[in-house]
Amino acid sequence: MNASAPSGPDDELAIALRDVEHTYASGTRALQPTTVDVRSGEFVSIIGPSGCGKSTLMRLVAGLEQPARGRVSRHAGLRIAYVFQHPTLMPWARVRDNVRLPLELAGRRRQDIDRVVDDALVQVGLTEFSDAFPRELSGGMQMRVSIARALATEPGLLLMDEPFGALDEITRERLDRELLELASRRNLTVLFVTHSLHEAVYLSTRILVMSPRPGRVTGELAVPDALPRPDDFRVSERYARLCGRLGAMLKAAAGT
Amino acid sequence: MTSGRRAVRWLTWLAPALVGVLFLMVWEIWVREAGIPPYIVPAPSRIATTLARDWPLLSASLLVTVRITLVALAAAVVIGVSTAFLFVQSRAIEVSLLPYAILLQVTPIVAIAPLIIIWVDDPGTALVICATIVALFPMISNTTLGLRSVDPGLLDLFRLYGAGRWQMLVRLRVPSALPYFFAGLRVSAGLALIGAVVAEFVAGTGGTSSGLAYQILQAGLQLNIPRMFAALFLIAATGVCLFAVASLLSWLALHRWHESAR
Repeated sequence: MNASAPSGPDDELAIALRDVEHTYASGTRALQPTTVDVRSGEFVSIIGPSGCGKSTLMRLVAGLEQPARGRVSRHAGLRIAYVFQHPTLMPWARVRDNVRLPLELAGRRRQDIDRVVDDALVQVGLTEFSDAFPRELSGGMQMRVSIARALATEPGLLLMDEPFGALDEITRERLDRELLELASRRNLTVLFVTHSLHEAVYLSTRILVMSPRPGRVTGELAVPDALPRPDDFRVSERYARLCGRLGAMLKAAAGT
Repeated sequence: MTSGRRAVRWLTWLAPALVGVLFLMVWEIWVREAGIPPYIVPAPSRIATTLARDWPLLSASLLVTVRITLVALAAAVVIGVSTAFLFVQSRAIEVSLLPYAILLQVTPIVAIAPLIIIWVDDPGTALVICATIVALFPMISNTTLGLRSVDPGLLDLFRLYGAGRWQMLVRLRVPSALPYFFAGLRVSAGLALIGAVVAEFVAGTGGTSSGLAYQILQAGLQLNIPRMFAALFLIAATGVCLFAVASLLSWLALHRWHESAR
């Protein structure tokens, strides 16, 4: 029941969670039976109040936790990359060596690694800083390194757990825009956790709303507008309407 | 701003130096004016001339003490780090052995030294063993703590990307432990010297190789107080040098990335 069978029930599905429940060793019930599908090419956001089990859900998807009940299936050979809330860089290693890490752990060939890492650093605009140490960079730049490290693995599914939550509003908006561009350019499949309904509507093709702890998915909102979205999408009436709808869904979820 | 910082840096050297010079001057004048005989308290100038005159004797002893200290420190590092690696491999090993490491730490070396000196034929080896025991514990406890103090996020990251036990150890735990290891090294360097001197005091015999503690004992018996002070000065200077070298190593290893070595 904690099977992570390398075969998805559908070719299109990157991951499928079926009636997954989770209780931590401390006895805290984190998730009620929850079913979530993510199809290839989707940008799915999960939104909900603090402590609603969003991070637990991500950890289950990544295989860092095993479900107490239910099934997590991943598409055969699916490569998962994880961008945590904090940059989570090795402070003793230069930017380049941080990005190399997952490839070296996977035992990839050296020439391969050099090429892929260079490309990933170009994607996030950090080529000039490849020899810097993490503490020499700003918070936003550290987050970019973390994203480059995830991109370098050429993931079939990119998990992002409130990646920009600790950044200032201006940096956050810029990184949101860059992420959206990257996602459409590289046709990424993303599962994204956030507190911000504005961020969720701007980035996602689909949004899942979760109730407070123990969490479960109480609603779903599709945002069919094509990626990448134009800059004026964020000031459009349609965007405001979608945010309003999502806000109402969140309020309803908190009431149950 | 930078000139202000530079001034502060100068002050951190200058102020203690000034206090030292002032202290020596007061000492010198007090001894001269009060007419205190050198076999009670010698003047700093007298200690300096004794140091120069007795240099052949004292430098030989200094070399012996330094050698014992360095060998003991090296042994403490090797044994301490290996023990720490063993401890983090399994809780069972740590739980069974840690009480004995603590026992070794809390038992005064003065109390164990006579036994070791009786059991071990070569006095030099006996002194090294005593000094190693004194210097060992900070290496064990600090390195163990360091190997365990890994950022849980990085631990998740390594697990996610399929790192094996060995890769976790070499690429994650060892670098995480470095700041703790060097903090321990600074303490252990001083303790190794203390262990070497104390053990020689207990041994009391110079044998073929007599260290600075032996010189202090002998000078005390002969009421050669200036030589006692000269030997004492050399021990203190050795301790300061050890601390400085340990700090330098720490700085070289950490200053690029760790906050403590900024």
